[in-house]
Amino acid sequence: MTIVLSPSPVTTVDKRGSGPPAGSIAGKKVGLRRDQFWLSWDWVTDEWAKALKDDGAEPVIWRAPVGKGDKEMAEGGEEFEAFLDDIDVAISGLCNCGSCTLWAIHDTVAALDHGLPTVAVSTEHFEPLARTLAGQGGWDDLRLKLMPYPLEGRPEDEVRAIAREHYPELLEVLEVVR
Amino acid sequence: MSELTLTAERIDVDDDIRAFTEFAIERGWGDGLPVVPPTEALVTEFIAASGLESTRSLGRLFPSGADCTVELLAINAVMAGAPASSMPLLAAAVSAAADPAFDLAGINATTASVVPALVVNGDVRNELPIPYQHSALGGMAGPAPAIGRALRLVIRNVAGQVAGKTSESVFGQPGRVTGVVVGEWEERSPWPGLAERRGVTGDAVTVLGVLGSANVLDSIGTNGFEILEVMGKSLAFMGNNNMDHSSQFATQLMALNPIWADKVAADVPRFEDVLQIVFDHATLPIDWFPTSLQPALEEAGDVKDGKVWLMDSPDDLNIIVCGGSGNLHGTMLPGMSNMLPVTRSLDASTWDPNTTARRDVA
Repeated sequence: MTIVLSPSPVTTVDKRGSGPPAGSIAGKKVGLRRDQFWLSWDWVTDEWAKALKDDGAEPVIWRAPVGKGDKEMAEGGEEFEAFLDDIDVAISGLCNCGSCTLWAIHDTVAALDHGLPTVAVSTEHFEPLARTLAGQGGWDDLRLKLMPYPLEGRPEDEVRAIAREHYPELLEVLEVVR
Repeated sequence: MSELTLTAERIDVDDDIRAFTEFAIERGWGDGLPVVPPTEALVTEFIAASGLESTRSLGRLFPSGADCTVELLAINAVMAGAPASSMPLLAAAVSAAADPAFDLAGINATTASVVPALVVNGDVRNELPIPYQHSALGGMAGPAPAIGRALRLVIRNVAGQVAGKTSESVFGQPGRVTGVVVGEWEERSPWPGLAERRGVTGDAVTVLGVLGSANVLDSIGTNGFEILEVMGKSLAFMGNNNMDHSSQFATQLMALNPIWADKVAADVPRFEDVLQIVFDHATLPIDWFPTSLQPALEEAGDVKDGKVWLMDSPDDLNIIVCGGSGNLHGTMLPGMSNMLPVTRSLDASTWDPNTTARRDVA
C-alpha cells in the first residue's frame, strides 16, 4: 500500500435550493436572457415577452454577447450586471447545446446569486447538463422549464405556437401568482 | 520559495499499477490508460521542477470553476507519466487555457469534439523534446503524449469535464486522451514562429481549440500559390464549425511542411499576403449549401459576393511550419467557434494574475 494525493480539489457546495418564487409579476421587470445561437429561442422569448406584457409585467430582453476582444468581454460583463440590477425576475436560456448550456446556466446562477427569482430554460435533451452545472453552483433544485427537443429547425410559426403553449407552465415553474 | 505544504486529500491505495489504475478509473480520476500513483515524493519533485509555489493558482478552470494550483497540476502530471521537466510548459499551458479569451468553459461543455492543442516554440522544444519534424502531430516516441495527457487529466480532474455529465461532446476525438502537442520547426520556417508573431518571444506555448486534424494532400504542389489555394479550399469544407450560421467566429490552424513553406515564401514574400491568399480561397458558394441552410447564413451576415466566408479576416488564420521533409502533405486543424488562441511565455513572471472567467460576475 502507498499514500497518494488526490488529483481533484476538495470542494464543498452549500445546497441552496431553487431560489425565491416570482409571486406577482404585475408591474415588475422580467428579464429575458437571449444568446447569439438559436433563432428558435429568439422567437420563443419574443412570444413570452408579449404574454408577459399582457400579464402586466415589463419584459426586458438582454442578449449575451460573443466578442473577440477584451473590450467586448468587459463590456458584456458590465452590461450583464446592469441587466441584473434592472430586473425583478429572470428567464435565462437557451440550454440547447453544450457550450450554450454552460453559459446559460452560468448566467442563471449569477441571477440567482443576485437574489432574483430565476428560471432556466432548456430543451429536454440538455436537462441533465443544466442541472449538473447548476448543482455545482449550489442550486440543486433549479427552476427549469423544459422545451421540446429539437426546437431549432422547426418553422417559425410552429416554434411560436410551442412558445405560447408552454407559457402557462413557465409561470408555474416560477411560482407566479396571477 | 517557502516551505512546501501539500494540501491535497491523502488516500491509501494499492501501489500495484494495475490496481491503482482501476482505482483511479473508479474514482473518476483516470482516462483508461495506466496511471502513475501520485505519491508525495513525486509530487514534491514536480512542484520543485515548476519553479513555482505549490499554492499558486494557475487560473480558474471551468465548468467546475476550481482553482488549478501548481500542486494539483503536479499531481495530474505525475499520474499522466509526464516528465518533471515539462512542468513549466504545463503551467504555462494551464494558465493560457484559463484565460477568458480561450473560453475553456465552452470548450469543455460543448457538443463539438474540440480539444486544446499546444503549439510549442523556443528552445524548450529541443530540451524536452517536443516533436516538430517527422510525425509531428503523433507517432514520434517522446514525452509529448504524456504532456498532452497531463493537461487532459487536469481538465478532467480539476476543470471537471466528464463525458456524458458535464461534457456533451457527441463524438470526442483521440486528442481528448493524449492531447495535441506539437512544436514548430523554427529553424526551417521562413517566418517568425507562431508565438513570436503573437508577441511572445523565447520559450512559449500557444493553446488553440481544434476539432481534430485532417491531412491535405497535394502531390503536385507546383508553386506556393497553388499550395495556399489547396489549403484554403480544403479548410472551407461545409461542416467546418464556422460555416454554420450559429458560429460567430472561429480561428483556423494550418500546418505546412518545410518544403511547402519554402515554396510559399519564395512566391509570396510577405506573410500578410500568405494569410490573405488562404483567406480569399476559404469560401464556398452559397448555392452549394442545402436550401434550408441558406436563409440562416444570409441572416447571420456570413454571405458576401455570393460566397460563404470561412473566416472573418486573415488574422483568424494561424500557420505553423512542422512535419517531415517528405513534402506532399499539409495538415489542417479546424478551429472551435467563439474562442481565441492564447499564447503564454514559459516565464511565469510575465503572466497576468487577474485571470477570471468571461463575464464572471460572481
